[in-house]
Amino acid sequence: MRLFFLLLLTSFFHFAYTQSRTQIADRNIKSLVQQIHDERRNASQDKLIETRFDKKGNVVELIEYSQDKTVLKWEKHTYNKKNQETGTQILDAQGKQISRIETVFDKLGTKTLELFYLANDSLDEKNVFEYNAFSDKIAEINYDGKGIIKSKTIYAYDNKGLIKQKTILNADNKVIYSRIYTYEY
Amino acid sequence: MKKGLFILFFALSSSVFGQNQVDFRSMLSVNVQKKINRRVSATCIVAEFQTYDFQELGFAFVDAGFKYKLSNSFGINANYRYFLKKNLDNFYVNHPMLYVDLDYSKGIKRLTIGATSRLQGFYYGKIIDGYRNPSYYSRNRLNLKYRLNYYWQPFTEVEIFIPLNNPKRQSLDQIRYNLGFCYTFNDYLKVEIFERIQQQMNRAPSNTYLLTAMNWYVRF
Repeated sequence: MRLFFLLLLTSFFHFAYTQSRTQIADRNIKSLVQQIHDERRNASQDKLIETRFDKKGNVVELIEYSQDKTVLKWEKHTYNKKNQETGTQILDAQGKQISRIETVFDKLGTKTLELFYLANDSLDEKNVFEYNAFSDKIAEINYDGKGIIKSKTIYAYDNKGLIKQKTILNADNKVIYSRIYTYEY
Repeated sequence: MKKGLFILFFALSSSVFGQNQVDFRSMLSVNVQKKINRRVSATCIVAEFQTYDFQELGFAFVDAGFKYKLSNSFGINANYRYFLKKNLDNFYVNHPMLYVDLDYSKGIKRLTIGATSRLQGFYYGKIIDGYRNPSYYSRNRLNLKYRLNYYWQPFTEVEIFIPLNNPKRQSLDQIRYNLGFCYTFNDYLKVEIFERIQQQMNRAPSNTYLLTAMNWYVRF
Protein backbone atom coordinates (compact mmCIF):
# COMPACT_ATOMS: atom_id res chain seq x y z
CA MET A 1 0.00 0.00 0.00
CA ARG A 2 2.81 2.39 0.89
CA LEU A 3 4.52 1.64 -2.40
CA PHE A 4 1.33 2.56 -4.20
CA PHE A 5 1.24 5.92 -2.42
CA LEU A 6 4.88 6.55 -3.26
CA LEU A 7 4.32 5.74 -6.93
CA LEU A 8 1.34 8.03 -6.93
CA LEU A 9 3.27 10.91 -5.40
CA THR A 10 6.14 10.36 -7.82
CA SER A 11 3.84 10.53 -10.83
CA PHE A 12 2.19 13.69 -9.47
CA PHE A 13 5.47 15.48 -8.84
CA HIS A 14 6.72 14.47 -12.28
CA PHE A 15 3.79 16.35 -13.76
CA ALA A 16 4.03 19.26 -11.38
CA TYR A 17 7.58 20.04 -12.38
CA THR A 18 6.96 20.00 -16.11
CA GLN A 19 5.23 23.36 -15.81
CA SER A 20 6.15 25.48 -12.84
CA ARG A 21 3.55 26.74 -10.42
CA THR A 22 4.73 30.31 -10.91
CA GLN A 23 4.46 30.06 -14.69
CA ILE A 24 0.88 28.83 -14.37
CA ALA A 25 -0.11 31.51 -11.82
CA ASP A 26 1.59 34.35 -13.70
CA ARG A 27 -0.43 33.60 -16.80
CA ASN A 28 -3.75 33.10 -14.94
CA ILE A 29 -4.12 29.62 -16.37
CA LYS A 30 -7.24 27.90 -15.06
CA SER A 31 -6.88 24.56 -16.75
CA LEU A 32 -4.76 22.59 -19.16
CA VAL A 33 -5.62 19.79 -21.54
CA GLN A 34 -2.80 17.59 -22.82
CA GLN A 35 -3.42 15.26 -25.74
CA ILE A 36 -0.72 12.63 -25.85
CA HIS A 37 0.01 10.57 -28.92
CA ASP A 38 3.16 8.48 -29.06
CA GLU A 39 4.07 6.85 -32.38
CA ARG A 40 6.39 4.49 -30.54
CA ARG A 41 3.44 3.00 -28.72
CA ASN A 42 0.17 1.48 -29.73
CA ALA A 43 -2.45 4.10 -30.68
CA SER A 44 -4.74 2.61 -28.04
CA GLN A 45 -2.34 4.04 -25.47
CA ASP A 46 -3.11 7.62 -26.51
CA LYS A 47 -4.12 9.70 -23.53
CA LEU A 48 -5.85 12.91 -22.64
CA ILE A 49 -4.93 14.64 -19.40
CA GLU A 50 -7.07 17.40 -17.94
CA THR A 51 -5.55 19.53 -15.19
CA ARG A 52 -7.23 22.30 -13.21
CA PHE A 53 -5.27 24.91 -11.25
CA ASP A 54 -6.09 27.29 -8.43
CA LYS A 55 -5.21 31.00 -8.54
CA LYS A 56 -1.75 30.28 -7.17
CA GLY A 57 -0.97 27.79 -9.93
CA ASN A 58 -1.35 24.67 -7.79
CA VAL A 59 -2.81 21.56 -9.41
CA VAL A 60 -6.19 21.01 -7.75
CA GLU A 61 -7.49 18.28 -10.03
CA LEU A 62 -5.94 15.93 -12.54
CA ILE A 63 -7.90 13.47 -14.66
CA GLU A 64 -6.25 11.12 -17.12
CA TYR A 65 -8.41 9.56 -19.85
CA SER A 66 -7.68 6.78 -22.28
CA GLN A 67 -8.48 7.04 -26.00
CA ASP A 68 -12.02 5.73 -25.40
CA LYS A 69 -12.61 8.37 -22.64
CA THR A 70 -12.25 5.89 -19.80
CA VAL A 71 -10.90 7.48 -16.64
CA LEU A 72 -7.43 6.03 -15.95
CA LYS A 73 -6.45 8.30 -13.10
CA TRP A 74 -8.29 10.92 -11.05
CA GLU A 75 -6.64 12.96 -8.34
CA LYS A 76 -7.67 15.94 -6.26
CA HIS A 77 -5.23 18.10 -4.31
CA THR A 78 -5.55 20.73 -1.60
CA TYR A 79 -2.98 23.23 -0.35
CA ASN A 80 -2.40 25.55 2.55
CA LYS A 81 -1.62 29.28 2.34
CA LYS A 82 2.06 28.53 1.80
CA ASN A 83 1.22 26.35 -1.23
CA GLN A 84 2.20 23.20 0.62
CA GLU A 85 0.13 20.20 -0.35
CA THR A 86 -2.13 19.26 2.54
CA GLY A 87 -4.33 16.68 0.87
CA THR A 88 -4.30 14.22 -2.02
CA GLN A 89 -7.38 12.23 -2.90
CA ILE A 90 -7.31 9.38 -5.39
CA LEU A 91 -10.64 8.60 -7.03
CA ASP A 92 -11.91 5.82 -9.26
CA ALA A 93 -13.70 6.32 -12.60
CA GLN A 94 -17.00 6.92 -10.78
CA GLY A 95 -15.51 9.55 -8.52
CA LYS A 96 -15.43 7.35 -5.41
CA GLN A 97 -12.43 7.61 -3.12
CA ILE A 98 -9.77 4.91 -3.46
CA SER A 99 -7.32 6.46 -1.02
CA ARG A 100 -6.41 9.75 0.56
CA ILE A 101 -3.25 11.34 1.98
CA GLU A 102 -3.44 14.16 4.49
CA THR A 103 -0.32 16.16 5.35
CA VAL A 104 -0.06 18.41 8.39
CA PHE A 105 2.40 21.28 8.61
CA ASP A 106 3.19 23.38 11.67
CA LYS A 107 3.16 27.19 11.69
CA LEU A 108 6.81 27.29 10.65
CA GLY A 109 5.85 25.38 7.49
CA THR A 110 7.45 22.10 8.53
CA LYS A 111 5.77 18.79 7.78
CA THR A 112 4.88 17.12 11.04
CA LEU A 113 2.39 14.41 10.09
CA GLU A 114 1.33 12.33 7.10
CA LEU A 115 -1.91 10.33 7.27
CA PHE A 116 -2.78 7.64 4.74
CA TYR A 117 -6.47 6.70 4.46
CA LEU A 118 -8.21 3.87 2.64
CA ALA A 119 -11.37 3.91 0.49
CA ASN A 120 -13.67 3.79 3.53
CA ASP A 121 -11.68 6.66 5.08
CA SER A 122 -10.20 4.45 7.77
CA LEU A 123 -6.59 5.18 8.71
CA ASP A 124 -4.15 2.85 7.00
CA GLU A 125 -0.80 4.31 8.04
CA LYS A 126 0.71 7.45 9.46
CA ASN A 127 4.14 9.04 9.48
CA VAL A 128 5.20 11.33 12.32
CA PHE A 129 8.15 13.66 11.71
CA GLU A 130 10.41 14.97 14.48
CA TYR A 131 12.84 17.87 14.26
CA ASN A 132 15.66 19.26 16.40
CA ALA A 133 15.90 22.90 17.54
CA PHE A 134 17.68 23.79 14.28
CA SER A 135 14.71 22.43 12.26
CA ASP A 136 16.66 19.42 10.92
CA LYS A 137 14.49 16.34 10.55
CA ILE A 138 15.81 13.83 13.07
CA ALA A 139 13.19 11.08 12.92
CA GLU A 140 10.36 9.74 10.82
CA ILE A 141 8.17 7.21 12.61
CA ASN A 142 5.86 5.01 10.60
CA TYR A 143 2.74 3.68 12.40
CA ASP A 144 0.05 1.33 11.17
CA GLY A 145 -3.63 2.24 11.35
CA LYS A 146 -3.86 1.05 14.95
CA GLY A 147 -1.00 3.26 16.10
CA ILE A 148 1.60 0.51 16.39
CA ILE A 149 5.11 1.43 15.24
CA LYS A 150 6.09 -0.33 12.02
CA SER A 151 9.44 1.35 11.47
CA LYS A 152 11.51 4.33 12.51
CA THR A 153 13.98 6.26 10.39
CA ILE A 154 16.62 8.26 12.24
CA TYR A 155 18.73 11.01 10.67
CA ALA A 156 22.01 12.45 11.99
CA TYR A 157 23.77 15.57 10.69
CA ASP A 158 27.30 16.92 10.67
CA ASN A 159 28.20 20.41 11.95
CA LYS A 160 27.53 21.95 8.53
CA GLY A 161 23.96 20.67 8.48
CA LEU A 162 24.52 17.83 6.02
CA ILE A 163 23.12 14.38 6.61
CA LYS A 164 25.68 12.12 8.25
CA GLN A 165 23.71 8.95 8.80
CA LYS A 166 20.33 7.47 7.98
CA THR A 167 19.22 4.46 9.98
CA ILE A 168 16.00 2.51 9.71
CA LEU A 169 14.81 0.46 12.67
CA ASN A 170 12.04 -2.10 12.54
CA ALA A 171 9.22 -2.51 15.05
CA ASP A 172 11.58 -4.36 17.41
CA ASN A 173 14.09 -1.49 17.33
CA LYS A 174 16.52 -3.59 15.29
CA VAL A 175 18.56 -1.83 12.61
CA ILE A 176 17.42 -3.03 9.21
CA TYR A 177 19.09 -0.39 7.08
CA SER A 178 21.94 2.04 7.53
CA ARG A 179 23.64 4.54 5.26
CA ILE A 180 26.67 6.56 6.35
CA TYR A 181 27.66 9.70 4.46
CA THR A 182 31.28 10.88 4.50
CA TYR A 183 32.03 14.25 2.94
CA GLU A 184 35.42 15.60 1.99
CA TYR A 185 35.52 19.34 2.71
CA MET B 1 37.90 39.46 -7.21
CA LYS B 2 34.92 39.92 -4.86
CA LYS B 3 37.13 39.70 -1.79
CA GLY B 4 39.48 42.20 -3.41
CA LEU B 5 36.65 44.70 -3.80
CA PHE B 6 35.91 44.52 -0.09
CA ILE B 7 39.53 45.06 0.84
CA LEU B 8 39.62 48.03 -1.52
CA PHE B 9 36.49 49.47 0.09
CA PHE B 10 37.96 49.15 3.57
CA ALA B 11 41.19 50.76 2.45
CA LEU B 12 39.49 53.70 0.73
CA SER B 13 36.69 54.25 3.21
CA SER B 14 38.99 55.27 6.05
CA SER B 15 40.45 58.13 4.05
CA VAL B 16 37.12 59.26 2.53
CA PHE B 17 34.71 59.12 5.46
CA GLY B 18 36.85 59.45 8.53
CA GLN B 19 38.30 62.85 7.67
CA ASN B 20 37.51 64.38 11.06
CA GLN B 21 38.68 61.29 12.87
CA VAL B 22 42.22 60.74 14.01
CA ASP B 23 41.87 57.56 16.02
CA PHE B 24 41.12 53.98 15.11
CA ARG B 25 37.83 52.75 16.56
CA SER B 26 36.77 49.18 16.80
CA MET B 27 34.11 47.00 18.29
CA LEU B 28 34.30 43.36 19.24
CA SER B 29 31.35 41.27 20.32
CA VAL B 30 30.52 37.66 21.07
CA ASN B 31 26.90 36.62 20.58
CA VAL B 32 25.84 33.32 22.10
CA GLN B 33 22.50 31.80 21.21
CA LYS B 34 21.06 28.76 22.93
CA LYS B 35 18.23 27.23 20.92
CA ILE B 36 15.68 26.03 23.45
CA ASN B 37 13.37 24.73 20.78
CA ARG B 38 12.53 25.54 17.17
CA ARG B 39 10.87 28.83 18.16
CA VAL B 40 12.55 30.02 21.33
CA SER B 41 16.19 30.85 21.99
CA ALA B 42 18.04 32.53 24.79
CA THR B 43 20.72 35.01 23.80
CA CYS B 44 23.72 36.54 25.52
CA ILE B 45 25.99 39.22 24.05
CA VAL B 46 29.25 40.57 25.40
CA ALA B 47 30.76 43.53 23.56
CA GLU B 48 33.39 46.19 23.92
CA PHE B 49 34.08 49.37 21.98
CA GLN B 50 37.63 50.71 21.78
CA THR B 51 38.70 54.22 20.86
CA TYR B 52 42.01 56.06 20.54
CA ASP B 53 43.80 53.25 18.74
CA PHE B 54 42.87 50.59 21.30
CA GLN B 55 44.07 52.75 24.19
CA GLU B 56 40.69 53.61 25.66
CA LEU B 57 37.53 51.68 26.32
CA GLY B 58 34.56 53.66 24.98
CA PHE B 59 31.95 51.31 26.35
CA ALA B 60 31.32 47.69 27.12
CA PHE B 61 28.10 45.83 27.70
CA VAL B 62 26.56 42.54 28.64
CA ASP B 63 23.22 41.72 27.07
CA ALA B 64 20.74 38.96 27.77
CA GLY B 65 17.40 38.22 26.19
CA PHE B 66 14.96 35.89 24.56
CA LYS B 67 14.17 35.48 20.90
CA TYR B 68 10.89 34.07 19.60
CA LYS B 69 10.39 32.96 16.01
CA LEU B 70 6.88 34.00 14.99
CA SER B 71 7.15 32.48 11.51
CA ASN B 72 9.85 31.70 8.99
CA SER B 73 10.11 35.40 8.20
CA PHE B 74 9.25 37.18 11.45
CA GLY B 75 10.89 37.07 14.84
CA ILE B 76 10.73 39.11 18.02
CA ASN B 77 13.20 39.51 20.83
CA ALA B 78 13.32 41.32 24.14
CA ASN B 79 16.66 42.12 25.78
CA TYR B 80 18.25 43.74 28.78
CA ARG B 81 21.63 45.38 28.26
CA TYR B 82 23.94 46.55 30.99
CA PHE B 83 26.39 49.24 29.84
CA LEU B 84 29.68 50.41 31.24
CA LYS B 85 30.06 53.71 29.42
CA LYS B 86 32.58 56.51 29.51
CA ASN B 87 30.95 59.88 30.19
CA LEU B 88 32.14 63.36 29.22
CA ASP B 89 34.10 63.62 32.46
CA ASN B 90 36.04 60.48 31.51
CA PHE B 91 34.39 58.38 34.21
CA TYR B 92 32.86 55.02 33.55
CA VAL B 93 29.25 54.83 34.60
CA ASN B 94 26.72 52.01 34.52
CA HIS B 95 23.51 52.34 32.54
CA PRO B 96 20.86 49.77 31.81
CA MET B 97 19.07 49.58 28.49
CA LEU B 98 15.94 47.70 27.53
CA TYR B 99 14.89 47.00 23.98
CA VAL B 100 12.47 45.03 21.84
CA ASP B 101 13.22 44.05 18.23
CA LEU B 102 10.87 42.95 15.50
CA ASP B 103 12.80 41.17 12.76
CA TYR B 104 11.84 40.32 9.23
CA SER B 105 13.88 38.41 6.71
CA LYS B 106 13.07 36.98 3.33
CA GLY B 107 15.33 34.96 1.11
CA ILE B 108 15.09 35.26 -2.64
CA LYS B 109 17.47 32.72 -4.14
CA ARG B 110 20.93 33.76 -2.86
CA LEU B 111 19.78 37.16 -1.66
CA THR B 112 18.35 37.80 1.81
CA ILE B 113 16.53 41.01 2.59
CA GLY B 114 16.11 41.81 6.25
CA ALA B 115 14.63 44.54 8.37
CA THR B 116 14.73 45.18 12.10
CA SER B 117 12.66 47.65 14.00
CA ARG B 118 13.85 48.35 17.52
CA LEU B 119 12.33 50.28 20.39
CA GLN B 120 14.89 51.01 23.06
CA GLY B 121 15.01 52.79 26.35
CA PHE B 122 18.35 53.92 27.75
CA TYR B 123 18.17 54.64 31.46
CA TYR B 124 20.63 57.16 32.89
CA GLY B 125 19.16 57.38 36.39
CA LYS B 126 21.34 59.31 38.80
CA ILE B 127 24.19 61.10 37.14
CA ILE B 128 26.95 63.22 38.64
CA ASP B 129 24.94 66.45 38.47
CA GLY B 130 21.50 65.16 39.31
CA TYR B 131 19.04 62.99 37.45
CA ARG B 132 18.66 62.52 33.72
CA ASN B 133 15.51 61.23 32.08
CA PRO B 134 15.67 58.03 30.08
CA SER B 135 16.17 58.44 26.36
CA TYR B 136 13.92 56.47 24.05
CA TYR B 137 14.76 55.65 20.48
CA SER B 138 13.21 53.98 17.50
CA ARG B 139 15.93 52.31 15.47
CA ASN B 140 15.17 50.86 12.06
CA ARG B 141 17.59 48.79 10.08
CA LEU B 142 17.53 47.38 6.57
CA ASN B 143 20.04 44.82 5.41
CA LEU B 144 20.90 42.97 2.29
CA LYS B 145 22.94 39.79 2.29
CA TYR B 146 24.22 37.81 -0.65
CA ARG B 147 25.23 34.21 -0.14
CA LEU B 148 28.23 33.44 -2.34
CA ASN B 149 28.38 29.94 -0.90
CA TYR B 150 27.92 28.23 2.47
CA TYR B 151 30.97 30.02 3.90
CA TRP B 152 31.02 33.57 2.48
CA GLN B 153 28.22 36.09 2.69
CA PRO B 154 28.88 39.78 1.99
CA PHE B 155 26.31 42.16 3.38
CA THR B 156 25.36 45.78 3.66
CA GLU B 157 23.15 47.52 6.22
CA VAL B 158 21.71 50.93 6.89
CA GLU B 159 20.23 51.93 10.23
CA ILE B 160 18.50 55.12 11.28
CA PHE B 161 18.08 56.39 14.84
CA ILE B 162 14.96 58.41 15.63
CA PRO B 163 14.81 60.01 19.09
CA LEU B 164 11.37 59.68 20.64
CA ASN B 165 11.61 61.95 23.66
CA ASN B 166 14.47 64.34 23.07
CA PRO B 167 13.10 67.93 23.00
CA LYS B 168 16.16 69.20 21.11
CA ARG B 169 16.13 66.55 18.39
CA GLN B 170 12.94 66.29 16.42
CA SER B 171 14.10 64.08 13.59
CA LEU B 172 16.63 61.32 13.08
CA ASP B 173 19.93 62.01 14.74
CA GLN B 174 22.13 59.21 13.47
CA ILE B 175 22.59 56.99 10.43
CA ARG B 176 24.85 53.98 10.36
CA TYR B 177 26.06 52.28 7.21
CA ASN B 178 27.71 48.90 7.44
CA LEU B 179 29.51 46.98 4.75
CA GLY B 180 31.26 43.73 5.40
CA PHE B 181 31.14 40.01 5.13
CA CYS B 182 30.15 37.05 7.17
CA TYR B 183 32.17 33.86 7.26
CA THR B 184 30.42 30.70 8.42
CA PHE B 185 32.72 28.07 9.92
CA ASN B 186 29.87 25.67 10.54
CA ASP B 187 26.22 25.73 11.70
CA TYR B 188 27.37 26.64 15.20
CA LEU B 189 30.01 29.30 14.59
CA LYS B 190 30.30 32.31 12.32
CA VAL B 191 32.04 35.67 12.29
CA GLU B 192 31.07 39.02 10.82
CA ILE B 193 33.65 41.65 9.95
CA PHE B 194 32.46 45.00 8.77
CA GLU B 195 33.26 48.64 8.38
CA ARG B 196 30.78 51.13 9.80
CA ILE B 197 30.23 54.75 8.94
CA GLN B 198 28.44 56.35 11.85
CA GLN B 199 27.01 59.68 10.81
CA GLN B 200 25.54 61.91 13.51
CA MET B 201 23.11 64.64 12.49
CA ASN B 202 20.72 67.27 13.85
CA ARG B 203 22.88 67.72 16.91
CA ALA B 204 25.91 69.73 17.83
CA PRO B 205 28.54 68.61 17.11
CA SER B 206 27.46 66.25 14.32
CA ASN B 207 30.44 64.05 13.66
CA THR B 208 31.05 61.18 11.33
CA TYR B 209 33.00 58.24 12.65
CA LEU B 210 34.46 55.19 11.07
CA LEU B 211 34.51 51.95 12.93
CA THR B 212 35.78 48.46 12.28
CA ALA B 213 33.80 45.71 13.94
CA MET B 214 34.04 42.01 14.47
CA ASN B 215 31.05 40.03 15.75
CA TRP B 216 31.33 36.37 16.65
CA TYR B 217 28.18 34.24 16.71
CA VAL B 218 28.02 30.97 18.59
CA ARG B 219 24.82 28.93 18.67
CA PHE B 220 24.08 25.57 20.13
